[in-house]
Amino acid sequence: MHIKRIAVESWRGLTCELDDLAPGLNLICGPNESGKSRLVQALRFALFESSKGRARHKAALSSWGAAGERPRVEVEFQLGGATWMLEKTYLGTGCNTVLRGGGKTLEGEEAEDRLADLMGVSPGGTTELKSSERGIWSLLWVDQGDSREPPSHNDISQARLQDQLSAEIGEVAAGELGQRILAAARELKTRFYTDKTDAERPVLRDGRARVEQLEADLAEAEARHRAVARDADDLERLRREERDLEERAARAEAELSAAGERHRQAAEAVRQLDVCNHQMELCRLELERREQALAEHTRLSEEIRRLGDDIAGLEQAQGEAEAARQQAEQAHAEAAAEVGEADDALAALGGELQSLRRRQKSATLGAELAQLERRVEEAAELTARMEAIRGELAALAPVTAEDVERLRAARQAVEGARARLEGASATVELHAQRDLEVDGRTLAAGETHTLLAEDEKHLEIAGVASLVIRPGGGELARLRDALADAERAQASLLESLAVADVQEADGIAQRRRDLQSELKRLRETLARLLPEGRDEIDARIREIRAQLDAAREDAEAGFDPAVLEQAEARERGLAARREALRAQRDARAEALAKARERVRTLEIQRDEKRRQIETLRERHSRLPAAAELERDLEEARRTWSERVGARDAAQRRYEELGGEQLELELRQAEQAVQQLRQGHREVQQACIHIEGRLGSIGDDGRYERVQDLEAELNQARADLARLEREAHAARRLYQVLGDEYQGARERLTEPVIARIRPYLADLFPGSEVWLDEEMNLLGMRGERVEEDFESLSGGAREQLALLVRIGLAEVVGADESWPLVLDDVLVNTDAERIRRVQRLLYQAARNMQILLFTCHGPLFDLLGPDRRIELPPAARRAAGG
Amino acid sequence: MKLLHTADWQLGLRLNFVGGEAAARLRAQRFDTVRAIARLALEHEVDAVVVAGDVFDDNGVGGDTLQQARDALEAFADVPVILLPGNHDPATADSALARLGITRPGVHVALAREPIRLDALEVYPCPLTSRHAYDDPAGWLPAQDRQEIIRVVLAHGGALNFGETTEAPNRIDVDAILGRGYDYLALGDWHGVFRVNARAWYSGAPEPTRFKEKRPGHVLLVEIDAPGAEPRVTELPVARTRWITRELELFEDADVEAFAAWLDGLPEKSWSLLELTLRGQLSLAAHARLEALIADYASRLALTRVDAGAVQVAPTADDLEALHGEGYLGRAINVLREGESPDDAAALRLLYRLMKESA
Repeated sequence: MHIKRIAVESWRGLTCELDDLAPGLNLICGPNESGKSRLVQALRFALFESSKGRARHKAALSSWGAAGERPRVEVEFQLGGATWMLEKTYLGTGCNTVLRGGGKTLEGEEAEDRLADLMGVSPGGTTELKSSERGIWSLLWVDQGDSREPPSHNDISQARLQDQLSAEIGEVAAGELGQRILAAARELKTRFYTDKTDAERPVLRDGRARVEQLEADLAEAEARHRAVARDADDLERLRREERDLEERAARAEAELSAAGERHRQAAEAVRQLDVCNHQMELCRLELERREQALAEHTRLSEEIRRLGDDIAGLEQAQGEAEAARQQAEQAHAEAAAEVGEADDALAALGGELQSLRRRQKSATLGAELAQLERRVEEAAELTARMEAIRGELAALAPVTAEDVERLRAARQAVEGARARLEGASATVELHAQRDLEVDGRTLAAGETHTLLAEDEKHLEIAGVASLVIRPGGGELARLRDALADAERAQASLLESLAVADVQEADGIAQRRRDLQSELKRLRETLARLLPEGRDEIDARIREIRAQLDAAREDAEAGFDPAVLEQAEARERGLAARREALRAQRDARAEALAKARERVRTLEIQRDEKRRQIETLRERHSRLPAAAELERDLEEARRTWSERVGARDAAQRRYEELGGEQLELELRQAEQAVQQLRQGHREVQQACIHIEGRLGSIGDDGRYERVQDLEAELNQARADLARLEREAHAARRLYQVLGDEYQGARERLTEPVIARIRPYLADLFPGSEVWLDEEMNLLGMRGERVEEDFESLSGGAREQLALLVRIGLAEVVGADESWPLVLDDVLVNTDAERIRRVQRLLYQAARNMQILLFTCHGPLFDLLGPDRRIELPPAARRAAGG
Repeated sequence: MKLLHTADWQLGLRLNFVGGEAAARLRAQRFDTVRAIARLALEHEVDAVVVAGDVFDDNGVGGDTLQQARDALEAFADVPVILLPGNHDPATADSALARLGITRPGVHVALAREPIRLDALEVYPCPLTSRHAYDDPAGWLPAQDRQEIIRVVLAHGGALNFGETTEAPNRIDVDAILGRGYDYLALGDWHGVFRVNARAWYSGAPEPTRFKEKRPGHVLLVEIDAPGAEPRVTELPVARTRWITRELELFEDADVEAFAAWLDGLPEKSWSLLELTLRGQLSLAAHARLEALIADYASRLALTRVDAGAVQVAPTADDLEALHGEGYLGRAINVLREGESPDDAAALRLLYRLMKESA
C-alpha cells in the first residue's frame, strides 16, 4: 500500500494537503500547532472510522472549529495494483464515504465495508476503533506517546503474521487452543511442583510425609505387637524349660542324696580306719619297746665283755711303758754329762782369747794417735798463713770497690765541669779588608786576627768600631764555680781514702779482694782437715794417750793377728760340739717326758674302763632275763599282725565305697544341684518378669492398631501413588508441551528475528530480540542474559519497539507492503542513536512506505527522506509539493 | 451324634483394606456370622460345636473384640462349644482365648491337651501352644479302643498328607491320628472346605478373609451314628459376604459395556467385594468409560480392587480427531503417543481430558 496524498479540510481547524507522498521514506515536520497531529488523526479516521454517526470521538472533531463545519479528509492510495481515492466527510447526515478505485465508485456503508476489507480491519462502528482492533495496523501505526509501547497484537494481526510465517517456514501455529492447553497443563503441574525449581509442593510432600509417618507408626505398633507375642512365646518356652529344669534338678538331688549316703558310710569306714591306725600305732610302739629291751640286754652283755678285754690290754701296755721310761732316764743323764765337759773346755780357751784382744786394741789406738797428731800439725801451718794474710789486709787502706766507683764519679764530674767551662769560650776571627788598627795594633788588609775570648773582652778597632765580646751569655762565673766545687769534692774523697788518685785506689781495692779470697780458701781447707774441731781432736788425743798409758803392758807385749785367728778358730770348734751335745741331751729329755706321759695315760684309761664296766654291770643286773624278753617280743608281734589285718579290712571297705573319688563325686553332685537350682530360679524369675509384663498389657487392642495402621498406610500409599501419577503426568505433559512450545516459538519467531537482526546489530550489538510465539515483544536476549522489555530504558524500549514493528511490517508486507505511520516516535532517543535509527528507517523504507511525523525537524536533517514536508506554523492551507 | 464343625473365625480381623463404612459393616458381620452358625447349630440340634482353631485373628485383639465374641457366643444357648487355640491365637501367655474366659457353662476353651467329655462324645483337643510349633500337636493323643463313645480330635494346622512336603509348622499326621482309633478329625487352618479323607475334614472359614481362598463360607454338619461309623458330612453355607475375583479382557467398547452389565447384575452389591484384573487395549473413550465405571462401583460395592495396569490405551481415529492439535500442540501429542514410559501414557490421557474440557 502506498499512500500518495492526504488532504484535510476543516479538520479541527486544519485545512491542509500532503501530496506526492513517496513510496519510501516521508518526513512530515511541523512545530506544535502546525497540524501534524490533526493530519495523523485525519488519516486514522479516514482509514478506520466510519463517517457515519456523531459519536463522542467524532463529535469532538467539531469542537474546535466553527459550528456547522464538516471535517473532511481525502486519501489517495495504491493497493493491490489499483489506485484508490477515499473521501470522508464527518458530522454530516448518514454515511458520507466515497471510495473510488478498481473501476468502481462505492459510497456510504458499502464504501466503508470495502475499505475495511481493504485495510483488513473490522468496519468502523459507533465507537472509536481501539488500537487493538485495527488489524495489522496495530503493528504499523504508532500514535504520539505510544512510542515506548511494544507492538500490540490482535486476532487479525496474529492470523496475518501466522499465515505469513507458516507459509514462509511451513510451521503451523497451535493457536488459542494450544495456549489454553499449555496454561491448563502448567496450572496442573504447579499444583504439584513449584514453577521455578520444580520442587515438590506440600500436596506431594505431605502425602509422602504421611506415608513415612504411618510406616514409622506401623513399625512401632508391629514391634509392640511382636514384642508381646514374643514375650508370650518366650514365656511358654520358659515354662517348659522351668518344668524340665525342675525334673533335672530333682534327679540331681536324688543323685546327691545317694552320694551323701555313700559319703556317710565312707566317713564311718574312715573313722574305723583311724581307730585301727591308732591301735596299730600303740602296738607298734610296744613292739619297738620290747625289741629295744632285748637289744639292750644283748648290747650290755657284749659291752661288758669288750670292756674286760680292754682293761687287760691296758694293763699289759702299762708294764711295757714303765720299762721304756726307765731306759730314757738313763740316756738323758749320760747326755747331760757330755754337755758339762764341753762347757769346761770353752771356759779354758776364753782367758787366752781375752789377752789377745787387749793387745790388738792397744795397737789400734797407737795408729789412731799418730794420724791425729799429723792433722793437728797441718792445721797449725794453715793457721799461720791465715794470720799473715790478715796482717797484710790490716796494712792496706780500707778502699772498697764502691769507693773506687765514687772516686771515678768525682773525676768525671770535674772533667764535665771543665768541659762545660771550656765550651762557653768564643773564638773571634777578624778578616781585614783594609788596613785596620785593632786594639791599637794594625791589621793589614787581607790579614786575619784570631782571638779566643774566655771572658768578657773589649776590642777597639780604631776608627771603625768598639766591640764587647761576652762568651757564654754571662754564665761563665757559674760554670767556674761548678768546676771548683767538683774539684773540691774529688780532693776531699781522695784525702778521706788516703790515696793519690783513682788508679791507686783501684790497685788497693784489687789487692784486698785477692787476700780475702785466699783467706776464705784457707779457712775451708782447715775446716775439712778438722771437721770435728780442734778441741775434740785434742780431747781424743788425750784419751788415747791415757788408754795407752793404762795398757802399757799390752802395748809393749806386741800383737800378732795370726795367733788371734788360731785361738778364735779353736773357740768356734768347741762351741759347735757343745751345741750338738746340748741338742742330744734335750731330745733325750723329751723322750723321757713322753715315756712318763704314756705311763700316766694308760693308768687313766685303765681306771676309766674299770668305772664303765662297773656301771654296765649295774645296769645289766637290773634287766629281766633274755628268755623272758624274747617271750614278750613274740607276743607283741602277734598283736601287730592282728591290728594290720583290721586296718586293711577298714581300708578295703573305704575303697569299695568310692575312696578319695567319693569326696569329688559329692562335691560334683552338690555343684550340679546348685547349678540346676540356680538355673531353675533364673527361669522362674524370667517367667515372673514376663508374666508381669504381659499382665500389665491387658486388652489394649494392639492387633487392631496394627491392622488399622496397615490399612491407613495402604490408603496413604495409594493416595500418594495416585497423586504421584497425576503429578508425573502433569509434569510430563507440561514438559512436553513446554518443550514443543519453545521449539515452535523459536521456529516461528526466527524469520521475524532474522529480519530485525540487521537493524538490531547496529543499535544493540550482540543482542537478539526476544519474542514469544504470538510475536509479543518480551525483551532482548544476549548470549547469557535476558532483559524484559519493561526493564529496558525508555530510549531502548522506543528503539526496540520500532525495530520490531519494522520487522513485523516486513513479515506482513511480504506480498503487499503496508505503510508504517509513526507520530513522534523518537522522543526518548538521544542524538547519536537517532542517527542510527534514521539510517535503519532509511533502509527499511526501501521495502515499505514510512510516514514519519515529527515536531523536531532539525533532528532529522540527516535523514535524507524521499519526501520532506515542512508544515508551516498554524497551517491552514495546502502544503505544496 | 451330630456335630457342627467350624474353624478360622478370625474374629478381630479389621478388613481395613475394604475401607470406610463397609469395613465396619464387614467387621460386625463376622460376629453376626457366628450368630448364624449358632442358629444352624440350634436348627440341626447338634450335640456340640467344635471350632478348630483361629477363633481370633490374633492374641493381641482388644477388649472390644473379646466382648463382641462373648456376646455372639451367647447365641449358642446351651449347645456346648469347644474353642481351640490355633496358630493365630495360640495358647500362649497372651492367649486371647484365655482372656475370653468361660462365658457360660457350655463353652470350653481348650487350652490344655486333655480330653473334654461331653454326653455323647469325647473331644480330644490339640491346642497350639506357640505360633510355630514344629512338634506334632496331636502327638500326645493316646491310642483308643473302639468302645461305646465317639471320639473326635480337634486340631489346627496343615495335614501331612495334604500333598505338601514343605517344612511348614504345625503339621498334623492325619493317618497317624486316625490310626489310633478316633472317629473324626475336625481340622482348621485351611480356609476352604476340604475333605482330607472320610474322617478328616477342613471346614474352612465361615466368612472369607481373602480373595484367593477356595470355597470358603461354610460350616460342616458331621453326623456319626456310632463309635467307628463313618461320618456323614454336610456342607452348610453360612457366609454373608461375597468375594469375587474376575479377570477380564477388554478390547472393544462393547466389552466395557458387557462388563458394565455384569456389574449391574451383581446381587447384594454392598456385601460384595470385587477383585478385578483387567487387560487388553481400549480406545481413549472406552478407557475413560471404564474408569468412570470403576469409580462408580467403588462406592457401590463393599470393595472394588482393580488392577488395570495391563489395559493399554490405543487412540482410535475418533480419539485422534479429538486429540488433534496444530503446531506445537500437535507435536506434543505425537511425542506423548510415541513415548514408552507410563508417564507419557498418563500425560497423553491427561492431555486428552484437557482437550475434551477445552473443546
